[in-house]
Amino acid sequence: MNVIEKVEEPERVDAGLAEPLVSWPFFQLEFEKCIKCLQCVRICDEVQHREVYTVDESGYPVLVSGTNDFRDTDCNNCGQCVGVCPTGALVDLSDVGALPKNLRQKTTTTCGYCGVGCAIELETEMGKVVAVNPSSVSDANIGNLCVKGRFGMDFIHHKDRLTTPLMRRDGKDSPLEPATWDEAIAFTAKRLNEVKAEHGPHALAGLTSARATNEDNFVFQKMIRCAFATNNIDHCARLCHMASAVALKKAVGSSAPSASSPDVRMATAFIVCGSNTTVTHPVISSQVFKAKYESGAKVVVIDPRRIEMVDHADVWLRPKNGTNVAVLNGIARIILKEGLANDDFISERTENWQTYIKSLEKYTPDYVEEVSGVPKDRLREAALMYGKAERGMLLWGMGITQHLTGVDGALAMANLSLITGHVGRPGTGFIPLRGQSNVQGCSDMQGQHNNLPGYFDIKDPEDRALFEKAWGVPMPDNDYLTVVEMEEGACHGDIKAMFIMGENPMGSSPDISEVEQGLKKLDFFVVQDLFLSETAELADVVFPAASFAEKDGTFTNTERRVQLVRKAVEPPGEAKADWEIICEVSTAMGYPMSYNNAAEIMEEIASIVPSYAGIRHDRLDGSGLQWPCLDTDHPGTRFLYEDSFPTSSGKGLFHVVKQNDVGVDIPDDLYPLNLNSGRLLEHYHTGTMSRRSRGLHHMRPEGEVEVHPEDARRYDLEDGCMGRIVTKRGSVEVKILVTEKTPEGAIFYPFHFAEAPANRLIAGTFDKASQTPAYKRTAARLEPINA
Amino acid sequence: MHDDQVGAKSTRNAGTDPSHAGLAEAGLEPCRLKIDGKTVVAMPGETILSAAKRAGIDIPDMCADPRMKPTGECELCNVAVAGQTDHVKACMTRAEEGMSIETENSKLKSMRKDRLNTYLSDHNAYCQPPCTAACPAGIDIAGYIDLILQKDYAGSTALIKEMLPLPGVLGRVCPRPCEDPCRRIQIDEKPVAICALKRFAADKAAESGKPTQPEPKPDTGKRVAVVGAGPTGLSAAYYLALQGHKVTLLESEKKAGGMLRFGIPPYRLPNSVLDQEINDILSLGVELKTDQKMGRDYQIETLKADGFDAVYLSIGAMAAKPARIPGDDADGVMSAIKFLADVNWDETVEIGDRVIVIGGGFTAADAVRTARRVGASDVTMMYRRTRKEMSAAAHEIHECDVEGITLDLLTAPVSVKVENGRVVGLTSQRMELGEPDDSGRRRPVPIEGSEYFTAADTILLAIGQDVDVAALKEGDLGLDKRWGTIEVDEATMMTNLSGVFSGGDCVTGAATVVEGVGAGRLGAFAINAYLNGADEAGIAAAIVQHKPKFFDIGAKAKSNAPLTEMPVLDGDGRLTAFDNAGHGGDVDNDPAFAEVETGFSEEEAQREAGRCLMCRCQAAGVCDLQRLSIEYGAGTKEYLGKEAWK
Ligand SMILES: Cc1cc2nc3c(=O)[nH]c(=O)nc-3n(C[C@H](O)[C@H](O)[C@H](O)COP(=O)(O)OP(=O)(O)OC[C@H]3O[C@@H](n4cnc5c(N)ncnc54)[C@H](O)[C@@H]3O)c2cc1C
Ligand code: SF4
Ligand code: SF4
Ligand code: SF4
Repeated sequence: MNVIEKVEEPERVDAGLAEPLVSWPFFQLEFEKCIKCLQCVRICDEVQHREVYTVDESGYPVLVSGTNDFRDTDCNNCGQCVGVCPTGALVDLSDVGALPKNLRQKTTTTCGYCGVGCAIELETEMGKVVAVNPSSVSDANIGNLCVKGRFGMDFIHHKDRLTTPLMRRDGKDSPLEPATWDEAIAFTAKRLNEVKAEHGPHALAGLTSARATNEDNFVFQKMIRCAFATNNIDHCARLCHMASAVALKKAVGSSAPSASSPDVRMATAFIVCGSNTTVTHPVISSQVFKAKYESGAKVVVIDPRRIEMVDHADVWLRPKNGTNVAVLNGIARIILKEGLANDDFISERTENWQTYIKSLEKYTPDYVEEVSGVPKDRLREAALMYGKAERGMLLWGMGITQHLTGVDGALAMANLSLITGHVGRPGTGFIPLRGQSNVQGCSDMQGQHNNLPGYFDIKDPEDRALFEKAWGVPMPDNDYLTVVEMEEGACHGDIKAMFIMGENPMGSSPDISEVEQGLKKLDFFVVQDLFLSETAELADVVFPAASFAEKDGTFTNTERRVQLVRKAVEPPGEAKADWEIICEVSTAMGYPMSYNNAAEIMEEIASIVPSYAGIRHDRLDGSGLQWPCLDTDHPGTRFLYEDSFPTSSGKGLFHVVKQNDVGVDIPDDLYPLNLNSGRLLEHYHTGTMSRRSRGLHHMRPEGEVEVHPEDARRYDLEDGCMGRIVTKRGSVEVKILVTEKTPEGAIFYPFHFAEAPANRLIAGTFDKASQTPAYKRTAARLEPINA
Repeated sequence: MHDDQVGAKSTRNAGTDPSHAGLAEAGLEPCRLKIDGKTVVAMPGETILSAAKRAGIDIPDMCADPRMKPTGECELCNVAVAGQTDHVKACMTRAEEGMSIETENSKLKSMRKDRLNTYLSDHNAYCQPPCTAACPAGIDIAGYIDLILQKDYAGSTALIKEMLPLPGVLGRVCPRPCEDPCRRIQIDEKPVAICALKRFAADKAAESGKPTQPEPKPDTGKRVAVVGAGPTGLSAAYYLALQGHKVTLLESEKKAGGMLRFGIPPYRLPNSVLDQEINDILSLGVELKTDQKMGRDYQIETLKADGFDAVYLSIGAMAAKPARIPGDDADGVMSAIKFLADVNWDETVEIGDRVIVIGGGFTAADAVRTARRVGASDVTMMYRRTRKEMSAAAHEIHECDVEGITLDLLTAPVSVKVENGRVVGLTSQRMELGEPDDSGRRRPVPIEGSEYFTAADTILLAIGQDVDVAALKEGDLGLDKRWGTIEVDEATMMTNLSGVFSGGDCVTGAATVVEGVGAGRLGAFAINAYLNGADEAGIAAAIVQHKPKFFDIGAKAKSNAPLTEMPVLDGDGRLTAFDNAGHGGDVDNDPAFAEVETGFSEEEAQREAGRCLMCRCQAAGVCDLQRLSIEYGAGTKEYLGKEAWK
C-alpha cells in the first residue's frame, strides 16, 4: 500500500443525505451507520471532558456548535470517540489501509512522541504503517491516546525520510551527497580519530537523544566514553527538566518521578504547576480528570496562562511570571500555620526542618499577594486543599523549570511533598512531566554528563573501576560539558568535532544564531537523524536512522516504566537502528562493539545499572516494568520512597528557597512584554516529526503568537494579521492570535516552527544550578507589519 | 477576568464511585463464583463482566468500556443468575461469593438478537463491497475509485497493482463481473463504470510516468520458471519477482502476451498498452525467453534439472475445438483463433466479401469485427442461443451492431457446402431454447425441417478452445480426463508434481483474463510459500481467500449523476474506414484497427467516480455490531460470499 498524501480538504458534495460531522483530516461521523449508542458522547464527556458532542432530539450525537465541523467546538482531535465507536460510524480518515482491519498485521509498541509512553498498536500492510489503534495493555494509558499518537504517525513514511548516508566528500563547501555505509563509516571514524589525535579527546562531544531507545542511548554514551574517551555527552533534558532532576536529587536523593499513572488516578488532591497538561500530556490529564470526576479529587492549578486545566480546577492561582517560588512557599507556610504539617513524617523521614520553617516566615499571605498578585484567600484555599488531602499529588512541567529560578521552583515543590508527607504511599507523590518519549531512560542510560549509567559518579574511583572492568578501557575523568557549553565551546574553538544523535539544537537550543555559528566552525560534524533537519544540513556526515516503528528497544516513560518498542516495519532504504550505526562507528574508531539485537544490549545494561538489573525484553509484555527492578523475579516498583529516601542519611531534605527575581531580561520600555515560549498539542519538539504528519500539520500549519486583547489594542495588532516579535537577540515574523489565555503584558509563542523559530529570540540566560535555559522569560516587543 | 469561569467543566459527571479508586485500601477480599460452570476468581469490587473477561469467558457487550462508568445501555451483557428470576446486566453487577451464572441460553439468545435488530434498524450501511467480492482478482474497487476522486491516479493504479499487474489491459478487455452486483444499481439501475475508471487511472498514471510498482524484496536466490507468457504467466512472474525470486518466463511465441497479443485485436487493446505493461513487469528483473516451447525445446523435468526451484505452468487453452460437421476441412474454413492470430501477427489475409463466424463468445465477436476490418463487407455471426446467452460482453455485441454485422441467432451449422474443394456457403438449422443445462443456460434444441442456406467465402469457427495437451509430456503430469485441462489441488494450486504449480486457461479451460491474472497472483504466493518450506497446509494458508460475510443495508450516494457511457469512435467514421480497409499486414498503423473505445476525460472520470457508494466500512472485521449480528443471526439480509447477487 502506498501511503497517500492528501493534504487538501476535499470539497463536500451535497448528497441530500445527513452530512457527516467532519474533523478533517482526522475523522468523520457518518450518520447512516450510527446506532445511537452514544459511546462517543460519553467518552468525550467522561474521559476527555471536552464536551464536544450533545444529543439531538432523535437520539443522534451532534456537535454542541450545531454545525458539522469539529473545528467549531473544543475538540482537540484526540480520536477517543473513533476508538470507542462499536460500528464503523466514526471513520478514521487517516487510515490508509486497503485490507479489512482484521486482516492487517498488528504490532503492539510504545508511542514515540511524549513521555507518557502510551501503548499503541500499529496496523501494517505491505510493510507500511496504515493506521494506529490505542492499546489497553499498559497501565500508562489504559487504552487512551492523544492526537499525536493516533493520527501523527504518518511521518514514518514521509518522503523526506533519509534513506542513505550522506557526506561532504570534499570539505565544508562541497554538497552533501549520498554515500555507501562503508564509505561514510570509514570517513567518520577517520575524521573523528584525526580530530582526537590533533586536539585531544575533549575536543570531541556528543549529544544523545531523548527520542532514541535506552539501548541506543546506552551504546552511544559507551562510544563517547570508550571510543571518543571523553565525558562530553549531554542531551536535551538539559533544556527542559534538568532543573527538576537537580532539585530532586538534592531533596530526595534521586531525580526520578516518585509516582505512577495508577497513583494519579488514586490521588485526592493535585497541584498542577506550570504544566499545560491537557496540551503537553493529554493522557495524563485524562487520568487527573478520572480522579477528579469519579472520585472527587481537588485540583489546584498554578499558571499565569489561562490554560485548559483551569476549566477543571477547583482553585486557579495566576501568579505573575517568575513568582512561583513565592507562591509555593506561601502555600507551605499556610499548611504549617494551619497545623496541617505531617509531624510524624517530618520527624521520622526528613532533615533540616527547623531552618526551613524559619525561612518560610517571610512568606505571609500578604507578602505573597504583593509579590505574585495571587489573592491571599485563594492561596489559602489551595493550601488547605493539598494540605488536608488524604493523598496529594504534585505535577509540574516546564513552567517551573524553564526559569532562572528553575531549581528553586522544583525544590519548593519537593518541600510541599515533604511537609505533608504526600510521598511514598499509593496515590501520593510528585511527577515532573517529561517531554519526550525517553527523557527518563536517556538520563538513566547516562545521557547526562555528571554520571555514568545508573547515576554512578564519574569522579568516584570505585564507581569508575566498575566500568573500567566492564568495558576494558580507562574511564575519562574530565569535567563534563553541558549542551549549552558544548555549543559555546564550538564557537570558541574548544570543541572541534561533534556527533549528534536524533537532536535538532538548531531548533531547540536557546539563541539559535550562536548555535549555528558554533556548528559551522566545527572541524567535523556528524548527525544521525530521520530527516535532514536544520542541524543535519550543517553536518559533514549524516546517517539515516530507523524510526521507533522500525526497530526494537525500550523507552522509559515519565513514571519510570520501561516498555517495549517493537519493530513493525522495515526502515526506509538503507536506514538502520541508531545502535547499529553507533556500533559500526565505534568499531571503526578502534573500540569494537557488536550486539546481535537490542535485547542483548538490555542484558548489558541490566548487568551494570542496578535499578534495571531485572529488566529483560522478554519480561516487558503488557505494562512493562517500573524501575527499580532489582532482579529477574522483581515485579518493578510503582511508587518510590515507601521506607526511605536514597540520600546519604536516608532522609528527605528540606531546602530553603527564596523568591528571587533575578531576571536579567526584565521587560523595559523598549521591550515591554514578557515572551513565554512553549509547546502546542499538535506538535512535538522542533516539529521534525509532527510537522511531517499531514493531519498535525493541517491542524497547525504555522505558529501564532498569543497576545492579550489589551496588548493587541495597545500595539495596534489585529487577530490573524502578521506581526513581528523583536527581542534583544533577534526577530521573527508571525501571525497574531488575540486571546485572553495569555495574561496582559505577556505573549506566548510555540517553538515548533523552524521557519520562524522562537529560539532565535531567546536570551541565553540559564538557571544557575542546572543550566536549564530560561525559555519562559525574555523581554520582547510586538510590532505590526504594515503591508 | 481572573477566575470567573474556573472549573467551568466540573458541572457534568462530578461524582464519586468507590469502585474506581482505592479498592485495595478499602480492604475488600477477592471472591469466587461460577460462570458457565467454570470457577472464576473476581477481584474486590469487580463486575461479573470484567471477571468473566479476565477468565476468558465471552459475554457480549457493545457499551462496556472500562474507562467509563457502566450504563447497561446495550443490554447485550444480560446474564442469568441462579436463584434470580430477572436477568442482570453483567457490566453493572458486582460479582459475589458463590454466585452461579449462565451467560447464554435460548432466552438470552433471542433477547440479544432482538436488541441487535433494533440497532440494525438505525444502521444503513454495508460491511464490504460486493464488487470486490465479485472481482476474481479481488481488487479494492472502492479504494481505487476513492483515489481517483482525490486525483491521485498513480496511487490508484498502485492500489490496483496490488491485485493485478495489467490495469490498462483489464481496463479495456475485462468482462466486468464486478459491475453486475454493484449497489449503485439499486439507486439508478446502472452500475458504476468500474472498469472504465480502472482504465482511466492506468492511462493517467502511465502518462504521468509516476511509479506504480513497489520495490521488489531482496533477492532470495530462488529461481522459478513460468511457462507461457499470457496474462496468467505475466501475473505470476510479477508477484514472484516482487517477493524477490528470480523469474524466467518461457514463451513459445515470438512475443509475450498470449491471447492478449494474438487473440484480442488492437482496436480493443492497442499493442502499445500491452507492451508498456509487459515492460513494467520485466523491469522488475523478470527474464523473458521467447521461442521456447515446452514439449519441443524442454520438458518439466529438464526445467528442474536446469536449476529451477519451482515451475508455474500457464500455457493457456489455445487449440481451437473442431466443428465436426461435413465439409469442415474445405479451403476457406478455419478456426477464428488462427484467423485472429494471423491478423494480429501482421499477416495479410484473403477472406473474401462474405464471412460467417460460428460462435457467441469473445472469439466470435472479435472474429466478426476483425473480418470487417480486413475487407469483408457481409459478415454474419451465427449463434445457437439468443443475445442474452452470448458470453461476449453486451457492449461488444452492441458494437457488432454498429459495425454492420448481421447476427443470426438460434441457429446451428449442419454442413459446409463445398465446391472445387472450396467453401461456398453453410447449411444451418434453426434452434429453440429448451430446458436449462448444467451451466444454467437454456439448452438449444433443433427445430425439425428448418434448414436454410447462407452463401459465404469464408467460415470461421469460434466454438471453444482446448489445452494443447501434446505439449505436456504424457504420463507424469496429471490431467483432467474429461476436459483435458491440467489438474491442480484447488487449495494449493499445485499439480501432482511437487513444486509444479499451474493456473489460468490451462487449468480452468478457456476463461477470462481477470481470472487468469487472479490465478497467477495466487500461484505466485503459493510458490513463495512452497519455496519458504511450507507444507501443503502452509501453502493453502498462504493463498486462502477470505470470503467476506456482510449485510446489505441501504446505500448512500455522493453524486446523483447518471452512468457515464464510454465514449467510442463514431460509427459512420468506422464504416468508412472499413470500406477503405486493406487485408491487414500492419494492424498497429491501420486506421481500420484504431482503438474504438477512447476512454474517459478527466471530468467524465471524476463524475463517474462520484457515483460510487463506497460500499466499504472501515470497521468491517473488527466491528462489534457486525460480529455479534452474525453470531446471533440478526439482520435482515445476510449474504455469504458469492451467493450475494444470485
Ligand atoms: C479472441 C479472444 C478474445 C478474448 N477476449 C477476452 C476479453 O475481452 N476479456 C477477457 O477477459 N478474456 C478474453 N479472452 C479470454 C482470455 O484471453 C484468456 O482467458 C486469457 O488470455 C487466458 O490467459 P492465460 O495466460 O491462461 O493463457 P493465454 O493467454 O492463452 O496464454 C498462454 C501462453 O502460453 C504460451 N504457450 C502455449 N503453449 C506453450 C508451450 N508448450 N510452451 C511455452 N509456451 C506456451 C502461449 O504462446 C501463450 O503466450 C479472449 C480470448 C480470445 C481467444
Ligand atoms: S459511538 Fe458510533 S455508533 Fe455510537 S453514537 Fe457515536 S457515532 Fe454513533
Ligand atoms: S457502488 Fe462502488 S463500492 Fe459499491 S458495489 Fe458499486 S463500485 Fe463497488
Ligand atoms: S462492519 Fe459494522 S459498522 Fe461497518 S457496515 Fe458492517 S455492521 Fe456496520
